[in-house]
Amino acid sequence: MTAVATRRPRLWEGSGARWLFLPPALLLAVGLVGPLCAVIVVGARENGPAGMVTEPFSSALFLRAAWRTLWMSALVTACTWAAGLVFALALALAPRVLGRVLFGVLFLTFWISLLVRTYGWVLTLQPSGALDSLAKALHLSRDGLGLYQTMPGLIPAMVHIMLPYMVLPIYAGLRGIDPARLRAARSLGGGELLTLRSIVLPAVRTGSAAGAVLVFVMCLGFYVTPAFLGGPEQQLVATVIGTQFGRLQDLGGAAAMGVVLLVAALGLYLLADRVFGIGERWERL
Amino acid sequence: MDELRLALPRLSRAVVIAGCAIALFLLLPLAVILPIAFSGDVFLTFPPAGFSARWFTEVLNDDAWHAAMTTSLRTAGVATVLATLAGTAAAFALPRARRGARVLRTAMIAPMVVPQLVLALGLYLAVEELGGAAGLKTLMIGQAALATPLVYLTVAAGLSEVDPALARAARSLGHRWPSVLVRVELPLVGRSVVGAAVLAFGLCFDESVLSYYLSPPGQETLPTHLWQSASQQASPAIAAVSSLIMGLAVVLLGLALALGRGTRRHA
Repeated sequence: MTAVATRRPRLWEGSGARWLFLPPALLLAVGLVGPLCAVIVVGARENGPAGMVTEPFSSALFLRAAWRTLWMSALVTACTWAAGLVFALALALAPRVLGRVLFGVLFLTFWISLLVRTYGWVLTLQPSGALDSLAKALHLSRDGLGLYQTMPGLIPAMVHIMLPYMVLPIYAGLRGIDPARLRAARSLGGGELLTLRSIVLPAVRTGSAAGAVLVFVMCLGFYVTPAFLGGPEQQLVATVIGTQFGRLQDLGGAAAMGVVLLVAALGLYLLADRVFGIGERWERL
Repeated sequence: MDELRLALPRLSRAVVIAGCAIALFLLLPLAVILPIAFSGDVFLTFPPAGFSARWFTEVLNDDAWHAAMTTSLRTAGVATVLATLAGTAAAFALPRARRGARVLRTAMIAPMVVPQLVLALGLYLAVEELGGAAGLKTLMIGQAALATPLVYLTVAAGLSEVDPALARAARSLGHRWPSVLVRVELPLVGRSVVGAAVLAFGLCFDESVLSYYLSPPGQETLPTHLWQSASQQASPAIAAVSSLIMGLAVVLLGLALALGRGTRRHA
Protein backbone atom coordinates (compact mmCIF):
# COMPACT_ATOMS: atom_id res chain seq x y z
CA MET A 1 0.00 0.00 0.00
CA THR A 2 2.65 2.47 1.02
CA ALA A 3 4.70 1.58 -2.03
CA VAL A 4 1.80 2.45 -4.31
CA ALA A 5 1.07 5.63 -2.40
CA THR A 6 4.64 6.87 -2.74
CA ARG A 7 5.10 5.75 -6.34
CA ARG A 8 2.09 7.49 -7.85
CA PRO A 9 2.95 11.13 -7.24
CA ARG A 10 6.54 10.50 -8.28
CA LEU A 11 5.51 9.04 -11.61
CA TRP A 12 3.24 12.01 -12.20
CA GLU A 13 5.77 14.65 -11.23
CA GLY A 14 8.85 13.03 -12.65
CA SER A 15 7.42 12.52 -16.12
CA GLY A 16 6.40 16.13 -16.69
CA ALA A 17 2.78 15.24 -17.41
CA ARG A 18 1.58 18.40 -15.71
CA TRP A 19 3.58 20.67 -18.01
CA LEU A 20 2.79 18.65 -21.10
CA PHE A 21 -0.93 19.05 -20.44
CA LEU A 22 -0.52 22.82 -20.56
CA PRO A 23 -0.24 23.54 -24.33
CA PRO A 24 -3.23 21.45 -25.46
CA ALA A 25 -5.34 22.63 -22.52
CA LEU A 26 -4.49 26.26 -23.31
CA LEU A 27 -5.20 25.95 -27.02
CA LEU A 28 -8.47 24.11 -26.49
CA ALA A 29 -9.52 26.64 -23.85
CA VAL A 30 -8.88 29.62 -26.12
CA GLY A 31 -9.85 28.07 -29.44
CA LEU A 32 -12.74 25.82 -28.46
CA VAL A 33 -14.14 26.01 -24.93
CA GLY A 34 -14.00 29.81 -24.61
CA PRO A 35 -15.76 30.49 -27.93
CA LEU A 36 -18.46 27.91 -27.16
CA CYS A 37 -19.03 29.58 -23.78
CA ALA A 38 -19.28 32.91 -25.62
CA VAL A 39 -22.13 31.48 -27.72
CA ILE A 40 -23.96 30.47 -24.52
CA VAL A 41 -23.28 33.80 -22.77
CA VAL A 42 -24.45 35.90 -25.72
CA GLY A 43 -27.43 33.62 -26.32
CA ALA A 44 -28.50 33.97 -22.69
CA ARG A 45 -27.95 37.75 -22.58
CA GLU A 46 -29.81 38.52 -25.80
CA ASN A 47 -32.77 36.23 -25.17
CA GLY A 48 -32.78 35.82 -21.37
CA PRO A 49 -31.68 32.50 -19.87
CA ALA A 50 -35.12 30.93 -20.35
CA GLY A 51 -35.69 32.66 -23.67
CA MET A 52 -32.50 31.12 -25.00
CA VAL A 53 -34.16 27.72 -24.80
CA THR A 54 -37.71 28.71 -25.74
CA GLU A 55 -36.92 31.30 -28.44
CA PRO A 56 -35.67 28.90 -31.16
CA PHE A 57 -38.53 26.46 -30.53
CA SER A 58 -41.13 29.20 -30.92
CA SER A 59 -39.95 29.85 -34.48
CA ALA A 60 -41.80 27.78 -37.07
CA LEU A 61 -38.85 28.11 -39.45
CA PHE A 62 -36.48 26.63 -36.87
CA LEU A 63 -38.85 23.82 -35.94
CA ARG A 64 -39.28 22.80 -39.55
CA ALA A 65 -35.53 22.98 -40.09
CA ALA A 66 -34.88 20.95 -36.92
CA TRP A 67 -37.30 18.23 -37.98
CA ARG A 68 -35.79 18.15 -41.48
CA THR A 69 -32.28 18.01 -40.02
CA LEU A 70 -33.17 15.07 -37.79
CA TRP A 71 -34.64 12.88 -40.50
CA MET A 72 -32.01 13.90 -43.06
CA SER A 73 -29.27 12.94 -40.55
CA ALA A 74 -30.99 9.63 -39.77
CA LEU A 75 -31.41 8.80 -43.46
CA VAL A 76 -27.81 9.75 -44.29
CA THR A 77 -26.57 7.68 -41.33
CA ALA A 78 -28.57 4.64 -42.48
CA CYS A 79 -27.39 4.93 -46.10
CA THR A 80 -23.80 5.54 -44.99
CA TRP A 81 -23.93 2.50 -42.73
CA ALA A 82 -25.15 0.23 -45.54
CA ALA A 83 -22.60 1.56 -48.04
CA GLY A 84 -19.87 1.64 -45.39
CA LEU A 85 -20.42 -1.99 -44.38
CA VAL A 86 -20.26 -3.12 -48.01
CA PHE A 87 -17.17 -1.03 -48.69
CA ALA A 88 -15.38 -2.21 -45.53
CA LEU A 89 -16.16 -5.83 -46.48
CA ALA A 90 -14.88 -5.14 -49.99
CA LEU A 91 -11.64 -3.74 -48.51
CA ALA A 92 -11.23 -6.93 -46.49
CA LEU A 93 -12.28 -9.38 -49.21
CA ALA A 94 -10.75 -7.86 -52.36
CA PRO A 95 -7.54 -9.33 -53.79
CA ARG A 96 -4.50 -7.53 -52.40
CA VAL A 97 -3.85 -5.03 -55.20
CA LEU A 98 -7.51 -4.15 -55.69
CA GLY A 99 -7.87 -3.74 -51.93
CA ARG A 100 -5.03 -1.23 -51.93
CA VAL A 101 -6.65 0.67 -54.80
CA LEU A 102 -9.98 0.82 -52.95
CA PHE A 103 -8.21 2.04 -49.82
CA GLY A 104 -6.40 4.66 -51.89
CA VAL A 105 -9.68 5.92 -53.37
CA LEU A 106 -11.25 6.17 -49.91
CA PHE A 107 -8.30 8.06 -48.45
CA LEU A 108 -7.96 10.36 -51.42
CA THR A 109 -11.59 11.44 -51.28
CA PHE A 110 -11.39 11.77 -47.48
CA TRP A 111 -8.39 14.01 -47.83
CA ILE A 112 -9.49 16.32 -50.63
CA SER A 113 -10.98 19.63 -49.55
CA LEU A 114 -14.61 19.37 -48.47
CA LEU A 115 -15.41 22.55 -50.38
CA VAL A 116 -13.89 21.12 -53.57
CA ARG A 117 -15.82 17.86 -53.19
CA THR A 118 -19.02 19.82 -52.63
CA TYR A 119 -18.26 21.93 -55.70
CA GLY A 120 -17.82 18.69 -57.65
CA TRP A 121 -21.34 17.73 -56.59
CA VAL A 122 -22.60 21.17 -57.67
CA LEU A 123 -21.11 20.59 -61.13
CA THR A 124 -22.57 17.08 -61.17
CA LEU A 125 -26.11 17.95 -60.09
CA GLN A 126 -26.74 21.46 -61.40
CA PRO A 127 -29.14 21.98 -64.30
CA SER A 128 -27.46 20.79 -67.52
CA GLY A 129 -24.58 19.55 -65.35
CA ALA A 130 -22.81 16.24 -65.69
CA LEU A 131 -25.66 14.03 -64.50
CA ASP A 132 -28.26 15.79 -66.65
CA SER A 133 -26.01 15.48 -69.71
CA LEU A 134 -25.58 11.78 -68.98
CA ALA A 135 -29.33 11.30 -68.59
CA LYS A 136 -29.90 13.12 -71.87
CA ALA A 137 -27.26 11.07 -73.68
CA LEU A 138 -28.91 7.87 -72.43
CA HIS A 139 -32.37 9.22 -73.39
CA LEU A 140 -33.53 8.89 -69.77
CA SER A 141 -34.88 12.42 -69.55
CA ARG A 142 -35.08 15.42 -71.80
CA ASP A 143 -35.46 18.30 -69.35
CA GLY A 144 -32.89 17.18 -66.80
CA LEU A 145 -33.36 15.34 -63.52
CA GLY A 146 -33.90 18.45 -61.39
CA LEU A 147 -31.83 17.11 -58.49
CA TYR A 148 -29.92 20.34 -57.79
CA GLN A 149 -30.85 21.86 -54.41
CA THR A 150 -33.27 19.07 -53.50
CA MET A 151 -33.15 16.42 -50.76
CA PRO A 152 -32.64 13.53 -53.23
CA GLY A 153 -29.61 15.42 -54.54
CA LEU A 154 -28.24 16.40 -51.13
CA ILE A 155 -28.35 12.93 -49.57
CA PRO A 156 -25.91 11.14 -51.93
CA ALA A 157 -23.50 14.05 -51.55
CA MET A 158 -23.71 13.81 -47.74
CA VAL A 159 -23.16 10.04 -47.87
CA HIS A 160 -20.15 10.68 -50.11
CA ILE A 161 -18.62 12.96 -47.49
CA MET A 162 -19.49 10.83 -44.44
CA LEU A 163 -18.48 7.43 -45.83
CA PRO A 164 -14.85 7.34 -44.54
CA TYR A 165 -15.99 8.02 -40.96
CA MET A 166 -18.11 4.86 -41.18
CA VAL A 167 -15.75 2.61 -43.15
CA LEU A 168 -12.71 3.02 -40.90
CA PRO A 169 -14.23 1.81 -37.58
CA ILE A 170 -16.11 -1.03 -39.33
CA TYR A 171 -12.95 -2.12 -41.11
CA ALA A 172 -11.09 -2.09 -37.78
CA GLY A 173 -13.75 -4.50 -36.45
CA LEU A 174 -13.30 -6.82 -39.44
CA ARG A 175 -9.54 -6.88 -38.94
CA GLY A 176 -10.07 -7.93 -35.34
CA ILE A 177 -11.80 -11.21 -36.30
CA ASP A 178 -9.81 -14.20 -35.05
CA PRO A 179 -8.79 -16.23 -38.17
CA ALA A 180 -9.10 -19.42 -36.09
CA ARG A 181 -12.83 -18.85 -35.70
CA LEU A 182 -13.24 -18.49 -39.46
CA ARG A 183 -11.18 -21.64 -40.03
CA ALA A 184 -13.33 -23.47 -37.49
CA ALA A 185 -16.52 -22.23 -39.16
CA ARG A 186 -15.26 -23.44 -42.53
CA SER A 187 -14.05 -26.84 -41.37
CA LEU A 188 -17.32 -27.45 -39.52
CA GLY A 189 -19.20 -26.75 -42.73
CA GLY A 190 -20.79 -23.45 -41.72
CA GLY A 191 -22.45 -21.82 -44.70
CA GLU A 192 -21.59 -18.30 -45.81
CA LEU A 193 -24.75 -16.80 -44.38
CA LEU A 194 -24.20 -18.49 -41.03
CA THR A 195 -20.57 -17.28 -40.93
CA LEU A 196 -21.70 -13.78 -41.84
CA ARG A 197 -24.40 -13.75 -39.19
CA SER A 198 -22.55 -15.41 -36.33
CA ILE A 199 -18.97 -14.13 -36.83
CA VAL A 200 -18.76 -11.15 -39.17
CA LEU A 201 -21.76 -9.07 -38.09
CA PRO A 202 -21.05 -9.34 -34.33
CA ALA A 203 -17.45 -8.31 -35.03
CA VAL A 204 -18.50 -5.07 -36.71
CA ARG A 205 -21.24 -4.18 -34.22
CA THR A 206 -19.24 -1.77 -32.04
CA GLY A 207 -17.49 -0.28 -35.07
CA SER A 208 -20.86 0.31 -36.70
CA ALA A 209 -22.17 2.01 -33.57
CA ALA A 210 -19.10 4.24 -33.31
CA GLY A 211 -19.33 5.18 -36.99
CA ALA A 212 -23.08 5.74 -36.88
CA VAL A 213 -22.90 8.05 -33.84
CA LEU A 214 -20.10 10.09 -35.39
CA VAL A 215 -21.85 10.38 -38.76
CA PHE A 216 -25.20 11.31 -37.18
CA VAL A 217 -23.63 13.96 -34.93
CA MET A 218 -21.60 15.42 -37.80
CA CYS A 219 -24.71 15.50 -40.01
CA LEU A 220 -26.64 17.49 -37.39
CA GLY A 221 -24.30 20.47 -37.63
CA PHE A 222 -23.06 20.07 -41.19
CA TYR A 223 -22.93 23.33 -43.08
CA VAL A 224 -20.91 23.47 -46.31
CA THR A 225 -22.64 20.80 -48.38
CA PRO A 226 -26.22 21.77 -47.35
CA ALA A 227 -25.38 25.44 -47.99
CA PHE A 228 -24.56 24.62 -51.62
CA LEU A 229 -26.90 21.74 -52.34
CA GLY A 230 -29.76 22.27 -49.87
CA GLY A 231 -31.51 25.16 -51.53
CA PRO A 232 -33.77 27.81 -49.97
CA GLU A 233 -36.71 25.41 -49.64
CA GLN A 234 -34.64 22.79 -47.83
CA GLN A 235 -33.24 24.77 -44.89
CA LEU A 236 -31.46 22.76 -42.21
CA VAL A 237 -30.59 23.97 -38.70
CA ALA A 238 -27.04 24.84 -39.74
CA THR A 239 -28.14 26.77 -42.82
CA VAL A 240 -30.73 28.71 -40.77
CA ILE A 241 -28.00 29.65 -38.26
CA GLY A 242 -25.67 30.54 -41.12
CA THR A 243 -28.23 32.95 -42.58
CA GLN A 244 -28.90 34.57 -39.17
CA PHE A 245 -25.17 34.90 -38.53
CA GLY A 246 -23.98 35.99 -41.97
CA ARG A 247 -26.69 37.72 -43.91
CA LEU A 248 -29.08 38.96 -41.22
CA GLN A 249 -26.49 39.70 -38.50
CA ASP A 250 -29.00 38.54 -35.87
CA LEU A 251 -26.28 37.31 -33.54
CA GLY A 252 -28.58 36.76 -30.54
CA GLY A 253 -30.90 34.53 -32.55
CA ALA A 254 -27.97 32.71 -34.14
CA ALA A 255 -26.43 32.15 -30.69
CA ALA A 256 -29.65 30.71 -29.22
CA MET A 257 -30.04 28.28 -32.12
CA GLY A 258 -26.32 27.53 -31.95
CA VAL A 259 -26.68 26.51 -28.29
CA VAL A 260 -29.47 24.07 -29.18
CA LEU A 261 -27.35 22.55 -31.96
CA LEU A 262 -24.27 22.40 -29.73
CA VAL A 263 -26.10 20.73 -26.86
CA ALA A 264 -27.66 18.18 -29.22
CA ALA A 265 -24.38 17.33 -30.95
CA LEU A 266 -22.09 17.33 -27.89
CA GLY A 267 -24.67 15.68 -25.63
CA LEU A 268 -25.18 12.82 -28.07
CA TYR A 269 -21.45 12.41 -28.57
CA LEU A 270 -20.62 12.39 -24.85
CA LEU A 271 -23.43 9.92 -24.18
CA ALA A 272 -22.22 7.63 -26.94
CA ASP A 273 -18.62 7.98 -25.77
CA ARG A 274 -19.69 6.78 -22.30
CA VAL A 275 -21.50 3.80 -23.80
CA PHE A 276 -19.20 2.77 -26.65
CA GLY A 277 -15.87 4.44 -25.79
CA ILE A 278 -15.62 6.15 -29.17
CA GLY A 279 -12.61 8.24 -28.26
CA GLU A 280 -10.52 5.16 -27.52
CA ARG A 281 -11.84 3.45 -30.63
CA TRP A 282 -10.66 6.24 -32.89
CA GLU A 283 -7.29 6.20 -31.23
CA ARG A 284 -6.81 2.57 -32.19
CA LEU A 285 -7.36 3.12 -35.91
CA MET B 1 -8.19 -11.30 -44.14
CA ASP B 2 -7.32 -14.33 -46.30
CA GLU B 3 -9.31 -16.54 -43.95
CA LEU B 4 -12.27 -14.19 -44.32
CA ARG B 5 -12.04 -14.53 -48.10
CA LEU B 6 -11.95 -18.33 -47.84
CA ALA B 7 -14.89 -18.38 -45.45
CA LEU B 8 -17.05 -16.19 -47.69
CA PRO B 9 -16.14 -17.24 -51.27
CA ARG B 10 -19.41 -16.47 -53.01
CA LEU B 11 -20.21 -13.33 -51.06
CA SER B 12 -16.69 -12.05 -51.77
CA ARG B 13 -17.28 -11.51 -55.45
CA ALA B 14 -20.58 -9.66 -55.01
CA VAL B 15 -19.14 -7.47 -52.25
CA VAL B 16 -16.01 -6.62 -54.21
CA ILE B 17 -18.06 -5.63 -57.26
CA ALA B 18 -20.28 -3.46 -55.04
CA GLY B 19 -17.16 -1.98 -53.42
CA CYS B 20 -15.78 -1.01 -56.83
CA ALA B 21 -19.10 0.63 -57.66
CA ILE B 22 -18.88 2.63 -54.41
CA ALA B 23 -15.31 3.62 -55.28
CA LEU B 24 -16.57 4.96 -58.63
CA PHE B 25 -19.27 6.88 -56.74
CA LEU B 26 -16.52 8.38 -54.54
CA LEU B 27 -14.52 9.45 -57.58
CA LEU B 28 -17.47 10.73 -59.61
CA PRO B 29 -17.73 14.35 -58.34
CA LEU B 30 -13.94 14.75 -58.45
CA ALA B 31 -13.79 13.37 -61.98
CA VAL B 32 -16.39 15.90 -63.10
CA ILE B 33 -14.20 18.84 -62.04
CA LEU B 34 -11.18 18.00 -64.20
CA PRO B 35 -12.71 18.13 -67.71
CA ILE B 36 -14.48 21.39 -66.85
CA ALA B 37 -11.20 22.88 -65.60
CA PHE B 38 -9.71 22.19 -69.04
CA SER B 39 -12.75 23.59 -70.83
CA GLY B 40 -12.32 25.96 -73.74
CA ASP B 41 -15.78 27.36 -73.09
CA VAL B 42 -16.77 30.27 -70.85
CA PHE B 43 -19.70 28.37 -69.30
CA LEU B 44 -19.94 25.35 -67.06
CA THR B 45 -21.34 23.04 -69.70
CA PHE B 46 -20.82 19.31 -69.55
CA PRO B 47 -19.25 17.76 -71.52
CA PRO B 48 -17.14 20.90 -72.06
CA ALA B 49 -16.69 22.29 -75.54
CA GLY B 50 -13.05 22.28 -76.61
CA PHE B 51 -9.89 21.73 -74.63
CA SER B 52 -7.60 24.45 -73.32
CA ALA B 53 -5.51 25.39 -70.33
CA ARG B 54 -6.69 29.01 -70.54
CA TRP B 55 -8.47 28.86 -67.17
CA PHE B 56 -5.32 27.70 -65.42
CA THR B 57 -3.28 30.54 -66.92
CA GLU B 58 -6.04 32.98 -66.06
CA VAL B 59 -6.23 31.83 -62.44
CA LEU B 60 -2.46 31.70 -61.98
CA ASN B 61 -2.17 35.29 -63.26
CA ASP B 62 -5.06 36.65 -61.21
CA ASP B 63 -4.11 38.91 -58.29
CA ALA B 64 -7.17 38.06 -56.20
CA TRP B 65 -6.45 34.31 -56.32
CA HIS B 66 -2.78 35.03 -55.58
CA ALA B 67 -3.63 37.10 -52.52
CA ALA B 68 -6.06 34.45 -51.30
CA MET B 69 -3.42 31.76 -51.76
CA THR B 70 -0.83 33.76 -49.78
CA THR B 71 -3.31 34.46 -46.98
CA SER B 72 -4.19 30.77 -46.77
CA LEU B 73 -0.57 29.64 -46.70
CA ARG B 74 0.19 32.09 -43.90
CA THR B 75 -2.89 31.31 -41.80
CA ALA B 76 -2.58 27.56 -42.22
CA GLY B 77 1.15 27.76 -41.47
CA VAL B 78 0.68 29.48 -38.11
CA ALA B 79 -2.27 27.25 -37.21
CA THR B 80 -0.17 24.19 -38.04
CA VAL B 81 2.64 25.25 -35.71
CA LEU B 82 0.16 25.79 -32.84
CA ALA B 83 -1.68 22.52 -33.50
CA THR B 84 1.54 20.53 -33.80
CA LEU B 85 2.83 21.85 -30.47
CA ALA B 86 -0.45 21.21 -28.66
CA GLY B 87 -1.21 17.86 -30.27
CA THR B 88 2.29 16.48 -29.73
CA ALA B 89 2.30 17.62 -26.11
CA ALA B 90 -1.06 15.91 -25.60
CA ALA B 91 0.22 12.67 -27.16
CA PHE B 92 3.16 12.68 -24.73
CA ALA B 93 1.05 13.73 -21.75
CA LEU B 94 -1.69 11.12 -21.99
CA PRO B 95 0.31 7.93 -21.40
CA ARG B 96 1.96 9.62 -18.38
CA ALA B 97 -1.25 10.73 -16.76
CA ARG B 98 -2.80 8.61 -14.06
CA ARG B 99 -6.01 10.58 -13.78
CA GLY B 100 -7.75 12.78 -16.27
CA ALA B 101 -6.57 10.76 -19.26
CA ARG B 102 -10.10 9.84 -20.26
CA VAL B 103 -11.31 13.42 -19.92
CA LEU B 104 -8.52 14.77 -22.08
CA ARG B 105 -8.97 11.98 -24.60
CA THR B 106 -12.64 12.83 -24.95
CA ALA B 107 -11.78 16.54 -25.15
CA MET B 108 -9.24 15.82 -27.88
CA ILE B 109 -11.90 14.21 -30.07
CA ALA B 110 -14.49 16.93 -29.33
CA PRO B 111 -13.30 19.32 -32.09
CA MET B 112 -14.35 16.65 -34.60
CA VAL B 113 -17.96 16.69 -33.42
CA VAL B 114 -18.47 20.36 -32.49
CA PRO B 115 -20.46 21.92 -35.34
CA GLN B 116 -17.95 24.13 -37.13
CA LEU B 117 -20.51 26.82 -37.78
CA VAL B 118 -21.19 27.13 -34.02
CA LEU B 119 -17.44 27.32 -33.39
CA ALA B 120 -17.14 30.06 -36.02
CA LEU B 121 -19.99 31.95 -34.36
CA GLY B 122 -18.36 31.46 -30.96
CA LEU B 123 -14.96 32.74 -32.08
CA TYR B 124 -16.63 35.75 -33.66
CA LEU B 125 -18.68 36.50 -30.53
CA ALA B 126 -15.77 35.86 -28.12
CA VAL B 127 -13.54 38.37 -29.89
CA GLU B 128 -16.38 40.85 -30.09
CA GLU B 129 -17.11 40.45 -26.34
CA LEU B 130 -13.46 41.23 -25.64
CA GLY B 131 -13.83 44.42 -27.65
CA GLY B 132 -11.98 43.38 -30.77
CA ALA B 133 -12.91 42.37 -34.28
CA ALA B 134 -12.49 38.85 -35.60
CA GLY B 135 -9.69 38.52 -38.08
CA LEU B 136 -7.01 36.20 -39.36
CA LYS B 137 -5.55 35.71 -35.86
CA THR B 138 -8.91 34.45 -34.61
CA LEU B 139 -9.08 32.17 -37.61
CA MET B 140 -5.60 30.77 -36.90
CA ILE B 141 -6.50 29.86 -33.31
CA GLY B 142 -9.79 28.26 -34.35
CA GLN B 143 -8.15 26.21 -37.09
CA ALA B 144 -5.36 25.17 -34.71
CA ALA B 145 -7.96 23.87 -32.25
CA LEU B 146 -9.64 21.93 -35.06
CA ALA B 147 -6.37 20.37 -36.23
CA THR B 148 -5.03 19.42 -32.78
CA PRO B 149 -6.89 16.05 -32.59
CA LEU B 150 -5.41 14.98 -35.92
CA VAL B 151 -1.89 15.74 -34.68
CA TYR B 152 -2.62 14.02 -31.38
CA LEU B 153 -3.96 10.85 -33.04
CA THR B 154 -1.03 10.65 -35.48
CA VAL B 155 1.70 11.22 -32.88
CA ALA B 156 -0.01 8.93 -30.35
CA ALA B 157 -0.04 6.18 -33.02
CA GLY B 158 3.69 6.71 -33.63
CA LEU B 159 4.40 6.78 -29.90
CA SER B 160 2.54 3.51 -29.31
CA GLU B 161 5.15 1.76 -31.47
CA VAL B 162 8.04 3.05 -29.36
CA ASP B 163 9.30 0.79 -26.57
CA PRO B 164 8.44 2.51 -23.26
CA ALA B 165 11.51 0.83 -21.73
CA LEU B 166 13.69 3.34 -23.60
CA ALA B 167 12.24 6.28 -21.68
CA ARG B 168 12.38 4.33 -18.42
CA ALA B 169 16.00 3.47 -19.07
CA ALA B 170 16.86 7.10 -19.72
CA ARG B 171 15.11 8.12 -16.50
CA SER B 172 16.90 5.49 -14.47
CA LEU B 173 20.19 6.73 -15.91
CA GLY B 174 19.46 10.05 -14.26
CA HIS B 175 17.84 12.08 -17.05
CA ARG B 176 15.10 14.41 -15.90
CA TRP B 177 11.83 14.45 -17.85
CA PRO B 178 12.56 17.38 -20.19
CA SER B 179 15.75 15.74 -21.28
CA VAL B 180 14.08 12.32 -21.71
CA LEU B 181 11.45 14.01 -23.84
CA VAL B 182 13.77 16.01 -26.06
CA ARG B 183 16.67 13.57 -26.37
CA VAL B 184 14.93 10.20 -26.36
CA GLU B 185 11.22 10.26 -27.09
CA LEU B 186 10.92 13.14 -29.55
CA PRO B 187 13.64 11.85 -31.92
CA LEU B 188 11.97 8.42 -31.92
CA VAL B 189 8.67 9.84 -33.15
CA GLY B 190 10.13 12.76 -35.11
CA ARG B 191 8.81 11.48 -38.42
CA SER B 192 5.32 11.03 -36.97
CA VAL B 193 5.39 14.62 -35.74
CA VAL B 194 6.41 15.93 -39.17
CA GLY B 195 3.79 13.72 -40.83
CA ALA B 196 1.17 15.00 -38.40
CA ALA B 197 2.18 18.58 -39.18
CA VAL B 198 1.74 17.93 -42.90
CA LEU B 199 -1.75 16.52 -42.28
CA ALA B 200 -2.63 19.44 -40.01
CA PHE B 201 -1.47 21.88 -42.67
CA GLY B 202 -3.70 20.20 -45.24
CA LEU B 203 -6.66 20.36 -42.86
CA CYS B 204 -6.17 24.04 -42.03
CA PHE B 205 -5.45 24.99 -45.64
CA ASP B 206 -8.73 23.40 -46.77
CA GLU B 207 -10.88 24.42 -43.80
CA SER B 208 -13.75 26.50 -45.13
CA VAL B 209 -16.44 27.26 -42.52
CA LEU B 210 -14.32 29.21 -40.02
CA SER B 211 -12.55 30.78 -42.99
CA TYR B 212 -15.78 31.92 -44.60
CA TYR B 213 -17.09 33.64 -41.48
CA LEU B 214 -13.88 34.92 -39.90
CA SER B 215 -11.59 36.11 -42.68
CA PRO B 216 -12.22 39.85 -42.99
CA PRO B 217 -13.10 41.46 -46.35
CA GLY B 218 -9.99 42.06 -48.39
CA GLN B 219 -8.14 39.27 -46.59
CA GLU B 220 -10.01 36.25 -47.90
CA THR B 221 -8.40 32.84 -47.64
CA LEU B 222 -8.41 30.53 -50.63
CA PRO B 223 -11.48 28.51 -49.49
CA THR B 224 -13.35 31.76 -48.75
CA HIS B 225 -12.54 33.18 -52.18
CA LEU B 226 -13.47 29.86 -53.78
CA TRP B 227 -16.76 29.76 -51.84
CA GLN B 228 -17.69 33.32 -52.77
CA SER B 229 -16.77 32.82 -56.41
CA ALA B 230 -18.65 29.52 -56.61
CA SER B 231 -21.84 31.05 -55.26
CA GLN B 232 -21.64 34.21 -57.36
CA GLN B 233 -20.43 33.12 -60.77
CA ALA B 234 -20.34 30.08 -63.00
CA SER B 235 -16.90 30.07 -64.56
CA PRO B 236 -14.56 27.16 -65.34
CA ALA B 237 -11.90 29.18 -63.48
CA ILE B 238 -13.36 27.83 -60.22
CA ALA B 239 -12.99 24.29 -61.50
CA ALA B 240 -9.37 25.10 -62.39
CA VAL B 241 -8.68 26.33 -58.83
CA SER B 242 -10.41 23.21 -57.46
CA SER B 243 -8.14 21.03 -59.60
CA LEU B 244 -5.07 22.85 -58.29
CA ILE B 245 -6.27 22.34 -54.69
CA MET B 246 -6.79 18.64 -55.44
CA GLY B 247 -3.26 18.44 -56.85
CA LEU B 248 -1.83 20.02 -53.70
CA ALA B 249 -3.84 17.58 -51.56
CA VAL B 250 -2.38 14.62 -53.45
CA VAL B 251 1.15 15.96 -52.95
CA LEU B 252 0.59 16.52 -49.20
CA LEU B 253 -0.97 13.07 -48.76
CA GLY B 254 1.95 11.44 -50.57
CA LEU B 255 4.37 13.32 -48.31
CA ALA B 256 2.51 12.31 -45.14
CA LEU B 257 2.35 8.66 -46.26
CA ALA B 258 6.07 8.60 -47.08
CA LEU B 259 6.86 10.00 -43.62
CA GLY B 260 4.50 7.52 -41.95
CA ARG B 261 6.12 4.57 -43.71
CA GLY B 262 9.53 5.77 -42.53
CA THR B 263 8.41 5.70 -38.90
CA ARG B 264 7.28 2.11 -39.12
CA ARG B 265 10.54 0.98 -40.65
CA HIS B 266 12.55 2.67 -37.91
CA ALA B 267 10.53 1.31 -35.04
